[in-house]
Amino acid sequence: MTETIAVQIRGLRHVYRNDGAQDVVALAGIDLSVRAGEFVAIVGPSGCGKSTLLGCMAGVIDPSEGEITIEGTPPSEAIRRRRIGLVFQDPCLLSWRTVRENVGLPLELNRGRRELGEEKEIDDLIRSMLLKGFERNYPSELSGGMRSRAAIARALVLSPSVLLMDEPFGALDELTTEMLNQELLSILEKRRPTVILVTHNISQAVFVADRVLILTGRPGRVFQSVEVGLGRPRRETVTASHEFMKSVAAIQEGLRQGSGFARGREE
Amino acid sequence: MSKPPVAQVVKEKALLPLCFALVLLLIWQLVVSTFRVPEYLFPSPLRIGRELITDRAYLLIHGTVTILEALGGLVIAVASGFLLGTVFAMSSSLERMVLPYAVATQSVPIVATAPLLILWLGPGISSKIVMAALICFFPMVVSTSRGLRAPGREQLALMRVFGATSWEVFWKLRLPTSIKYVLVGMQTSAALAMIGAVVAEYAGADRGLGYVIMQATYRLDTPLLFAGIFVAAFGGLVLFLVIVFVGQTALGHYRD
Repeated sequence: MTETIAVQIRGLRHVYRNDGAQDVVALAGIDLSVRAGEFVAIVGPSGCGKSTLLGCMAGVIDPSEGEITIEGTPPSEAIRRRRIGLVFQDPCLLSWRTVRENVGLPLELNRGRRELGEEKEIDDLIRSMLLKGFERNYPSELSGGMRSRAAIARALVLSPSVLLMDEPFGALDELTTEMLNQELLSILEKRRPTVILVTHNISQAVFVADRVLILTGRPGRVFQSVEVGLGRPRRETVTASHEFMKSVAAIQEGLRQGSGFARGREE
Repeated sequence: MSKPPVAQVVKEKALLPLCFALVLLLIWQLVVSTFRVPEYLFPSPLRIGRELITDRAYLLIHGTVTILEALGGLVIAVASGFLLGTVFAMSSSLERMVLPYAVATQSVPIVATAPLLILWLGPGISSKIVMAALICFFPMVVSTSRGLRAPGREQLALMRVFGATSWEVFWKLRLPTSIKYVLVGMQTSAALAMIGAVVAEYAGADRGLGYVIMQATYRLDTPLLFAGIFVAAFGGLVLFLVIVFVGQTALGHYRD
């Protein structure tokens, strides 16, 4: 049986043009296939183009060269079909809307409504993301972790088949991040979307992902792909397993070599 | 969250400025009394206070006229400034084309513009309202334009991924984000509107605080002149505080 490919990238290159200054090549020749339902984490040194890559997949950055398809269509078409969910490090919640109104914003836009009604999917997600009781609170009244959970709930409200996350817990402390990783896995195991997560946290990458891609330093290329041999569902206890440690060590080594590979190219 | 009682708000927000004003007035009174400064040069706060009480009806009538002129100008400036600010926010090329001239008009001293407005619109209230509107217009354009452009790259990217149309991005993101910026523009403009109205009254009027100050100057009635200045400052402060109060009570989380 052939596997369904959710995200396909061929020859992706992106250059940031700077008037009067040197152009910056962010990505140089990325080829990547992500299977439907797969959880892929992308790690790499700062400035290697991880966020640019995610932006290209989300259709919010037009790449200079190359082709991206989301379920066989260009990102713009995938956006039109509401197949993409997106989460940034900054939850970007609208301060004047309550948690429920923020989570329901994509539904409101999708259905062309002026106001939300009694949509069950919003309440289900709020419950799943442990925000029950805070529906009527405003973002300024929430903790950082709760805001991140609300942003993820908002990204999932249209049931996208591809969820793109750019360091969603990057601004939170380690303990909260560990807790949110577990909650994220619980909710995603029920929904099974294809997930691509950009992170600088190797432990997080190994804990949540099926596969970890290591990018080289700028300009970013895929240096190595590390399969994480941990079963699902995953619980906190796997972080003490030999397989977890082995994957973390392999990624650390890959990152070191990847950075050296980039320096070698520069020289 | 429950709102704090009025007495507590007054204690927290008004007590310090009031104490500061009291100290300043005390020093002023002491300096004038000690050095026996003539009243026509620099009247004492007590003398000005007496003037404010004895001429209260006169000052109230003229003060009300000026505040209404300022308020009228402010309303016009907010509406027209918001429209042009929106156009600027939507079209960078139009902003680049028009903005230098808008800045140039701001550099023209209002004392030079006021006689022209009297000439064109007559000595009635309309020339004063237009003067107040003109002086507030530019801050409103800038604050609106800045507010509508305030949403960050990531917020705009999210709206795009959610499938929002340009109109929805404007209505559900840009416009609500701009509210706190517009509010700041209105607070700045409140004081400016009073200046615009008073300067226009200077150029030619038969009522208003500008007229009172002018008449007092001709008669060398310095206590009345100061009383007029005090009422103008108080009017500007009241306009400012009304805008702050409306912003705090009506706009709620739009200010966050």
